[in-house]
Amino acid sequence: MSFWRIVLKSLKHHHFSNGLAAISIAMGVALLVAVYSLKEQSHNTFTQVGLGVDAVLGPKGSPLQIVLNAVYHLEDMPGKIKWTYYREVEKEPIVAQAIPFVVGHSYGGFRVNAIDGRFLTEFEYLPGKTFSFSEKLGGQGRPFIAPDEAVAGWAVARRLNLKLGDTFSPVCGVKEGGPIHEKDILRFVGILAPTGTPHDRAIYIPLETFYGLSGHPRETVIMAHLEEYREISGAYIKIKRIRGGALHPGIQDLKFEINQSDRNQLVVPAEVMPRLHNIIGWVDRVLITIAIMLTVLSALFLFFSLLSALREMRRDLALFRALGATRKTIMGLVISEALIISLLGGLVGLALGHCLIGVGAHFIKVESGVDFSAGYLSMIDWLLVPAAILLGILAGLVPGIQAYRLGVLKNLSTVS
Amino acid sequence: MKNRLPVLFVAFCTVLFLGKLSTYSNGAEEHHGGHEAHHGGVLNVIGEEVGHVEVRIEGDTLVAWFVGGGHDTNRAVPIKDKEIALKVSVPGKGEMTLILNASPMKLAGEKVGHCSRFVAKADWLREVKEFQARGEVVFKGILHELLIKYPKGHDPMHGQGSH
Repeated sequence: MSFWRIVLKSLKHHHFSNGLAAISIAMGVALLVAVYSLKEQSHNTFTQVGLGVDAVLGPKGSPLQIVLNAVYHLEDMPGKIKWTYYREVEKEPIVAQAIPFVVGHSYGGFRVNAIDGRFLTEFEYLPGKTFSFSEKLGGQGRPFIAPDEAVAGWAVARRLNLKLGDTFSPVCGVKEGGPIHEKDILRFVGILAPTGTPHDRAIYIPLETFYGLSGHPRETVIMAHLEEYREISGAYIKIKRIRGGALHPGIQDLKFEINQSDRNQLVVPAEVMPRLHNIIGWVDRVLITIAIMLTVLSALFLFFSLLSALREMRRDLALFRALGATRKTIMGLVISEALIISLLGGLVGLALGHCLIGVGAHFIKVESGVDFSAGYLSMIDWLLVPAAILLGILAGLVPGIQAYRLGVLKNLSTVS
Repeated sequence: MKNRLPVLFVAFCTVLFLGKLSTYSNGAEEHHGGHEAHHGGVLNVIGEEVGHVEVRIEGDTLVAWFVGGGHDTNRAVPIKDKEIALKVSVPGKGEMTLILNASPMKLAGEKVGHCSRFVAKADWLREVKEFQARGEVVFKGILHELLIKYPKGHDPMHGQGSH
């Protein structure tokens, strides 16, 4: 009988305890895979500092909410600001560029942002990079010109299978089931080349189009024509640079000044996002610690289960020794059993972990708009097989050493 | 010894974990100590810390902001004065007069007579490294003596420094 056949027979013989050990390892690994994958994906989503936006001019409210809405197209804006105030800020000497926008509509689960046309032609989303419609880079068409034209981000076009010339009617609000502006039919004239930023996940329409959408009250409609009554959700602010490309130090004074006003504030994403990371970072660490403890407990369970199986198998193992098996072979049998259980638990846990992400991602997307992928491979996926092998060896080491030291005569003697 | 090994291992991990936790806690406490000067200037207490005046020098210009007391240094406190006269003592140069003029922050909705920012210009400010200035200001409706110490700031309750 071959070595591996003996191992498999032994596994089958103790199938209940071995199965439990594998399941408990699978559960710990599944939790570890899910938490790590979500951690890495959210880190990738939220750590692209600034994304071309040095500051966001917005209404009073939570600075985090303003950054999440303006930069990451999540959450809602907590209010509106006056167009005349935005124009005053635009004139400040240290402001290099100010691009107004209005949020509050969606299509196909993606935000529709009414925005100044300069966003698509002059705004640098990363240093030296403006949006492109070049086909070589994966874009199509051109920026919008007419009020009934729209441009889609690359991720939007891919998810909704959009082509140039396709039409849509914006939905009022950002949740599913909101009222549709059925009388307004907008046509996609451009698809942005991928940027690898949240800007890929939005649809852009001309700023003035927002005010004229059917169903909006007259007070909103006149905003298109009368600046003194016009309101916007906010503005992307770019600050002038000084030597070495550093932000002009006057940004702190500007922020202080605007933040004293009753209705407005200036939020710097690079100051707000690290606070979010600190909070989430601790949640991640706790969850990962729990997952590791669960996996270690599973390994301990495997260890005790092997010890218990060894006690039952002493006579059998002594018989093998008497038939010519070496000490190393006996030790190898025990460790191999532990390895197989550990690997099996690890692989099942890996698959289960990705399934967990797939299920969770759907609910996260519905509730928060953040997209997670079940197929994303995190660091844990690559380390899993070596870690499972190590875990199996560690769990099987002591029982293996005990099996190595097994006395043949003592264990073959008749039990009276 | 064999029986004690698992216990020692668990104890070691617990100490390591708690050690990391306390490092974080200490870090958090240090962050919250001290008052922050939001314009990069130096803070000078007004009265019994009912407010501060933050002072910054840029070339020949001195800018002063009247802000809240305690940790509330991120809140502007407008005052009615249109100008504030300061008697400035510069080591080795004697006494001089410096007039702070109201410079309203328009984006904050301020105007002269309801203004938290004051500006003064003088050539000697370019080279000054240290000075002490005295004046008076009606702050939150009460007349207070103003004492400005540059560059150390004035905060008798928390020590000289403003950070």
